[in-house]
Parts: sequence; structure tokens; C-alpha cells
Amino acid sequence: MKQESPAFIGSIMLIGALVSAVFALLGGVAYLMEHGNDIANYEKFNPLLSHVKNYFSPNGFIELGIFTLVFTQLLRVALVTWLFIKEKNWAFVIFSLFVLAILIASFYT
Amino acid sequence: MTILELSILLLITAYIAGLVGSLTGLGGGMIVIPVLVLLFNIDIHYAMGASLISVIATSSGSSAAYLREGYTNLKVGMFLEVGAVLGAIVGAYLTAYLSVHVISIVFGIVMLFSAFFSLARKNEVSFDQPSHPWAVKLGLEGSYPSSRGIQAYKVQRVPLALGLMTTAGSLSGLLGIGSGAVKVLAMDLAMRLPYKVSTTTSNFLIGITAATSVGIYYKHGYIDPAITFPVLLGVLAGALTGARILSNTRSKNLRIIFSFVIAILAAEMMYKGLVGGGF
Repeated sequence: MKQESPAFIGSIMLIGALVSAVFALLGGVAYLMEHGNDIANYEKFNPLLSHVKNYFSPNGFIELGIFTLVFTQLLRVALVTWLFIKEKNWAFVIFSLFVLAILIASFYT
Repeated sequence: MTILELSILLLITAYIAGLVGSLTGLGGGMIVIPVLVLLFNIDIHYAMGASLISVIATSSGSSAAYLREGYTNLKVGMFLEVGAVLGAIVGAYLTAYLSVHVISIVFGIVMLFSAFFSLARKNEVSFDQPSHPWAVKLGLEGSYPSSRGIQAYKVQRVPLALGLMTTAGSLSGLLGIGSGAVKVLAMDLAMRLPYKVSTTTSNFLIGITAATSVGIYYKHGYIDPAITFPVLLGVLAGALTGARILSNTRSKNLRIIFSFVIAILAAEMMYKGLVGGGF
């Protein structure tokens, strides 16, 4: 195989990482303006505290950042699949589709 | 401590973790989790959630530089990733049923192993030995830009590498880390790929593997936005700085110093896991 590592996938990944960082930064600053003076208490694990109900909230913005990151991973696998389809390399199309399927299934477990 | 103070400290810590993690190849999670747990008294589940997200950010952010250089072997990568995603699902599932004590002890062991491997890493590239039959059949062999021009390489022990990758995936899901050390082990020691090929291919895969655990971590409430945002921003910025420095400098001494730090943190994690203080 010729060294198939197209730079454009990397560029898309970098953009995804930066967009998610911007979301996380905006949400984080907003969160600190609301709660910055509260006393931090993360010694005990409390799963109920972590779920966001409204995406137009500081926490919601941070979570949008997280979703952007996860979505770029889906995109990464999809783009690699497409490269293998272009090469008509069906064994690797199947491997990539399998990874993609597990990734998507993992969100519904 | 107020949340503002904690966030600033986390940001600084995460930056250093990301920087050193990328310079040594150990990854940010290996450092950020014990520091959050031991120094800031943060529950290990929150630390794992924040680390998992920062691992994805690091892998995405540094892919651009790595893919441009032309070392990443996508075929080897996607083949091995089949094992890694399956492992990640199992690991992420299991972690909800394990006690904090067990997780801490396993974490300590993985840290010790990673520190040791980071020091002992040798590069015996396979140019002459024929490839494993699976590698030939799947066409996994590749070539990379070396100092003597484009150099073709062979691929050894494919089944062993697949097994190691499945282990790496399950550790990633179990502990919220990238398991870069085990991934590199699969490609370095088992497949005998050139150093830069295994490092960059591993980096390419780490984000995909970690993303597989996010759904399960999210459902269990491990990903707390308030802890995740400073860790995510810090580790990402640190890793991007590290990737810039790495292309110019050798980091052997840093690896030695850092492996000792990791070993001490590992001992403390295991002690905390065994004695149970603070949990």
C-alpha cells in the first residue's frame, strides 16, 4: 500500500478540536461567572449532579464542546471508510464500517 | 477551595500534564488522573471522565501535524481498531461494577507498566524478515519517509498485536486513559513497525477508542462539565505545545525523570486503593 495518510483528515480533526475548545471555554467562563465563588466539592461521586437539562446553559455549552469532539471521531472513521471505498479495498471498508457501527452503538448502550 | 480557584489550578495542572504527556509519549491521562485524585481529592470517576474527554481532544488536535508527515499507517490502524473498540466497550461497562479500590490498584499497575515501557522502549524495525501471513494477505505493509528516502517495512505478529490492542481498548474504557503505551507496544514490539509509524498511528486511534467509552461514561455521570472544561482546555493546549517542541528536541532525559514521577504516583495510587483512605 502506498502511504495513505491524507492531511485533510487531520485538518478536519484539528478544526473539530478547536471548535470544541471554544465551546468549552465559553461555557466554562459563563459557569465560573455563575458558580465561581461556590465551594468546590468533588470528593464524593454523585452521578445525579452531572446531567445537563438545558443546552443554553453554561454546562450545556461545555457539553456541546464534548459532543463536537465525539462527533469528529465519527467523522474521522467515516472519512477513512470513504478512502477505502475509493481504493475499492473492501476488506478495510468492512473493518472501518465495523468500527463505525460499534462507535454509534456505544451511544445507545 | 472555591470552584474558580479549583478551575484555575486544574487548568495549570492539565496544561503541564498535556505538555509532559506528549513529550514523553505517556499521554495526558496517565498524569492528570492521579494528580486530580491525590492532590485535589477529586473522586476518581470525575477524574476519569475529564481525562477521557481530554484524550480525545489531544488525539484530534495532534492528528493534523502527524498526518501531514506521512507516517500514519491507516490500514494497520483500522485493522487494530476493530479489537480496540470492542475492548473499550467491555472496559467501560466493567468499570461501573468495580470498586474505587480495584480501579485505583489497576490504575497504579498500568502506570508502573507504562513508565517502565517508556524507558525500555527499543526500536527494532523489521525490514528483512518476511511479514506475518495476515499482513501479506491484508496488505498491511507500508513505507515511510526516512533519512535515506522512502523506506519500506514489514509487519510481524499480527494476531499478537490485535490481542494487545484489544487489551489497550479495554484499559482505555476501564480507566479513562488513552492507553497509548499499550497501543505503541502492539505496533512497536509485536508488529515491529518503525518508531514514528507506531507513535503516529497510535495517536490517530486513541481518539476513536476513547470516544467509544464516552456514551457509557456519560450515562453513568462520570463526565462532569465543571471539571471537564479546565482539564480539556489545559491538556489540549499542553499537547499542542508539546507537539511543536517534539519535532526539534530529543526527550530521553525528560522520559527518565518523568518515569520516576509516574512510578511514585503509581505507588501512591495503589496505596490509596489498598488502604482506602479518603474513598
